[in-house]
Amino acid sequence: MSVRVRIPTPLRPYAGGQPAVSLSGETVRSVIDALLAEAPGLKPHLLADDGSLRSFVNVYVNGEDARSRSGLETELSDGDEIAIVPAIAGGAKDAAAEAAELSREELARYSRHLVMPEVTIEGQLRLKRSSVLLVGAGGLGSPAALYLAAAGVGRLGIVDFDVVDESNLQRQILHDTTWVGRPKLESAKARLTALNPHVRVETHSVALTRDNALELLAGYDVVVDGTDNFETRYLTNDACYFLKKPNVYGSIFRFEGQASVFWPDRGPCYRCLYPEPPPPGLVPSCAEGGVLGILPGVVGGIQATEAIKILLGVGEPLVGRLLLYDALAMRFDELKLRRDPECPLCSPKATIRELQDYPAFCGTGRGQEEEPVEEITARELKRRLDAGEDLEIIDVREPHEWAICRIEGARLVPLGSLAARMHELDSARTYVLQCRSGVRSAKALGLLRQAGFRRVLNLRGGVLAWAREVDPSMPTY
Amino acid sequence: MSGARPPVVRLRGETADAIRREAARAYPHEGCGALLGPAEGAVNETMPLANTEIGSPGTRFTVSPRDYLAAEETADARGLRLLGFWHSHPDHPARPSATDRAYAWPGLLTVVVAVDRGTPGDITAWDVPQPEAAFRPLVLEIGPVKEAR
Repeated sequence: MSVRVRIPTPLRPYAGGQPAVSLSGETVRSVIDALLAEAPGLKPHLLADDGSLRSFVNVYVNGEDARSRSGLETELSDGDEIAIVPAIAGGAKDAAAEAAELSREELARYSRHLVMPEVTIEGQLRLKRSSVLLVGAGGLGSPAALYLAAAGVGRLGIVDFDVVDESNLQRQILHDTTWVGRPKLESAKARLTALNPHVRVETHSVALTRDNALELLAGYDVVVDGTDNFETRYLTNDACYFLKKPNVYGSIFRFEGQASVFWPDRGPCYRCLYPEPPPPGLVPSCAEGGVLGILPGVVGGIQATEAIKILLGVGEPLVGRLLLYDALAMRFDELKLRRDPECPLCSPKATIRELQDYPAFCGTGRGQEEEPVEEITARELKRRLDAGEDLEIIDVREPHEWAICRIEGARLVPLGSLAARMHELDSARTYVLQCRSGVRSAKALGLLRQAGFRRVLNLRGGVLAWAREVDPSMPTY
Repeated sequence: MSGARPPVVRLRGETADAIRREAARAYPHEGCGALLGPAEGAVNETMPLANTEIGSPGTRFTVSPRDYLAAEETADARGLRLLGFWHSHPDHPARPSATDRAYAWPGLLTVVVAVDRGTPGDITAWDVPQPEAAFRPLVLEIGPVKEAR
């Protein structure tokens, strides 16, 4: 592989003064080795004694941090651009001056942290000056809040408006039996303050909405998403993206959990992973499907770990990776997540510029003022097509989704271009609108209705329903 | 270069003003930016950069790798040199700290501006002559900078 390596200004004197060199290699490591063979003077600046990349140096491959891929083992393609980037940082305070900021009691409390070279007094002070917002004080929020408080994060915000129910106690370990029927925030504050009086606990007894999310999240360094519904999950994701805050994601169901870190500009966001929510009712909630009580203990613990690593600035954050945990098999797996080049939120082609109407987006809104959506099931559609009826299927998904699977004969008109291409359609004809799961096509149906189309139907459940009910050989995603 | 007299860094007056303005705007956080110029020791431009420090932006600064690359690419594209970085010390003197030294790179200037209760004050310039050396104070002359030949 032939690649171009950008040499940063302070290191150019060691590389013959050139801003960039062309080299070849299969991995970042082999390219760095080739570079060091040509310019041995660079070695002490790039590599530590054990051959790993120095912590003061970042390597970017095509604009992406190699640490969020496979580090030095990241595989390269022909024409890749590698940039060596020196860490630029500093600040007014010296470690000695900072030591005075921890009391004797705090020094004793955090002594197991202070002896770790990755933490030390400097790291402990970072935690003390940091803040984390927990969205939800339930299954995931409980262990996360307890460990973040114990670790000495200076300020913990919690958003929740629920009261403690008996059915919570099987897993929501912030709350105990005596608190049943009282607000979760009160029991959380009492419990966390008792655990660590040095932590300031800020309670926000509201539902997170598009009107308050930006203001609420702006006051914190890291957000821990412990929500149990898609509306709040997309809202949290979008608000974190606009505010450029790292969003530590976790989700749980029965015996299985997931975790990742969505860190704007450093890796993918939740919408890269799931462009749209499943149709309401398709995915059972924990209330319907159940959840192993200890499962959030593991996943929430992973979320707290990631939040603390981000605040300390150590290790490899769970960016660009989806950690899958299967408690029954007792197995962890990891999926690579890439930024979706078509992501409606975080790609250069983004169409979302502000917070959305999440109840409508997730199909959970009251919708009393809306006209009922005329639906057709996959089976019925197949029957009418087989009968030779004059109807056309309009697929409103994106081209990259179309590439995965499509219904024979369907015409691709992505939702974003529908308004501009409406003249291609004939308002006298019957159209069946279709997307992945039925949410976007319902929006498309609204647009066509407004434009005077009367004979339009929405394929209930989208291609997913088609694959399930009509064509099981169709790949789904 | 290295004699009894420390090297001189020329900083264009407008650039010094821009640095002070940015530092005041960032207060009580530390502000930071890149220093560009036509030749070694001649700074005639600053690119303000975001302080992406999480946790302690009042006593620490961090330049994101993307911003570093953008500054360097801007310099290269315009035939300028990326000469170093400045940052502010809110309510601290314009002297580099041990933290500053830990991160300093030979070949890049460290320029520090003090901000006292929101009002920008002294500006000082430093460099690290060899990888393991201590900071060396430079003579900072604020005034016109000759364009590149």
